[in-house]
Amino acid sequence: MKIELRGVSKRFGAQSVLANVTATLEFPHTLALIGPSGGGKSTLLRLLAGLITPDAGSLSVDGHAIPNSTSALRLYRAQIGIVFQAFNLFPHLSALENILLPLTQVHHVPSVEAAARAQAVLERFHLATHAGKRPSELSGGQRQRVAIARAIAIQPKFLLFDEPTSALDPEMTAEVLDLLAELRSEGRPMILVTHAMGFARHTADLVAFVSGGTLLEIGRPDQILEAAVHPEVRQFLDRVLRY
Amino acid sequence: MIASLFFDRPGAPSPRWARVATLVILAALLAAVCFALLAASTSNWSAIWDYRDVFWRGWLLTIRISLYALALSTVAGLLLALARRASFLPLRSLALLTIEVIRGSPLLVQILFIWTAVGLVRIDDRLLVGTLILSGFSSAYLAEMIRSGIESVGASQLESARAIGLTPLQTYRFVIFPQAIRQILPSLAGQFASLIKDSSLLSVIGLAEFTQAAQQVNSATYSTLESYVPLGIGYLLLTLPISALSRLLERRFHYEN
Repeated sequence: MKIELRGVSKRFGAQSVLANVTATLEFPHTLALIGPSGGGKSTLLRLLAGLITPDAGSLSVDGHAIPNSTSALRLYRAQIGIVFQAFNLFPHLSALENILLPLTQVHHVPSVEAAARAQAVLERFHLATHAGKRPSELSGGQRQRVAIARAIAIQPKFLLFDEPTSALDPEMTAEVLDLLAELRSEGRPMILVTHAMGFARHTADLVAFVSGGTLLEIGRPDQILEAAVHPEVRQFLDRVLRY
Repeated sequence: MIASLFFDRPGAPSPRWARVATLVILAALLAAVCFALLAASTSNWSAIWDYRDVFWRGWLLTIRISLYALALSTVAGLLLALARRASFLPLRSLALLTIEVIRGSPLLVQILFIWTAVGLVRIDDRLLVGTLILSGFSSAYLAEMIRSGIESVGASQLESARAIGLTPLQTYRFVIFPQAIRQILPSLAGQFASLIKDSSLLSVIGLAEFTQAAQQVNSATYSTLESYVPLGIGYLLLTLPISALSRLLERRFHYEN
């Protein structure tokens, strides 16, 4: 997968979150975006998700520019699986219905096939017994696995994760990270914003350190985590990896 | 009714003697009120019975007006609520102005004013005008409830809907409305009960609904109290089931969270 950023800027009000970022990120499976809070990594992910548009510059994914118009963006988003921090399931729908909604309404999959596909992905994630439960009846880890199941069921071109474990306790975090590692093996490209450095080291092919509205350093996980060149990156990792 | 009388606090149920005492006290009070009414009245109940048809027709008309107004005001309230959230500023302002004017003035004044105004252009269909006034009045309150319901759906839900590629219309249909309805069902039920009660004010324009019917019987038989007792009971027969239903829905909604 290849992501190109050309002069990308994004402001929220008076605050500049990304400032004229130009970079090429090429990786076989998994890209991890790491860095301090407020550094711009979630904004970068949301730009890639087509949820927001840049104020200046352009982004492209595998050579195709991300569109700017509302309707083209909606079609673009429909091809991507996006998983947020938490609370992104619809609380009034069961796990199964959550997975069915995009399949039948957005992708117009016939209902029999959609049901079969949803059932298959629930079984694969060991969620079959929870198919009829609403999100409020599921644990945090199960909820996040259903969210991932919903993202996978549409057979997306690639997957985006925005701190998928930051709202979970350690055991549930492990449960979700195991699932992500398993997804990696099926070869669908993934981009994730994460604070789990150990996970980034084991799973990512490429790590980008985002801070102060720019990509400070890009490299292989061991390169960045053990031998970062930029002093700010080293300082951040020293602090985070100390405990 | 009985159930909600005794089991209003599921955490602290009342002892058996308290329930018995409650029944005795309530029955005694009811008997006292009935006795006082009978003693004070002219006891002209047979005259009232002779006019039972008038009551019956008035009651049915009240139900009819309420059902029409319920349907109309739901549609109008929904449109007003959406207009309040429109991106086109004049539409938003117009919706706000409409809602504020309707909610800011008494229903009785609106009935008198509009009935006089439409009289000037020679419209004299009492049922039509009365139903429209009542619908308009109720729609302003419904609009604010629906709007608050829509706004109670969190930003993360809207973002989720966008992320999976739903169109704005689909987002309303599959994400916003199902959650908003659940949130506002109890207050909607309350508003529908209000609508039934408010329809009594339409008697001032001579619409032969329930209250007007009672007044007719009263002037024909000179038995005021006897005419108004069935009137009160008739309204309670309509509003109490709605109130019970609303409490049931409220409880169901409460347990779901």
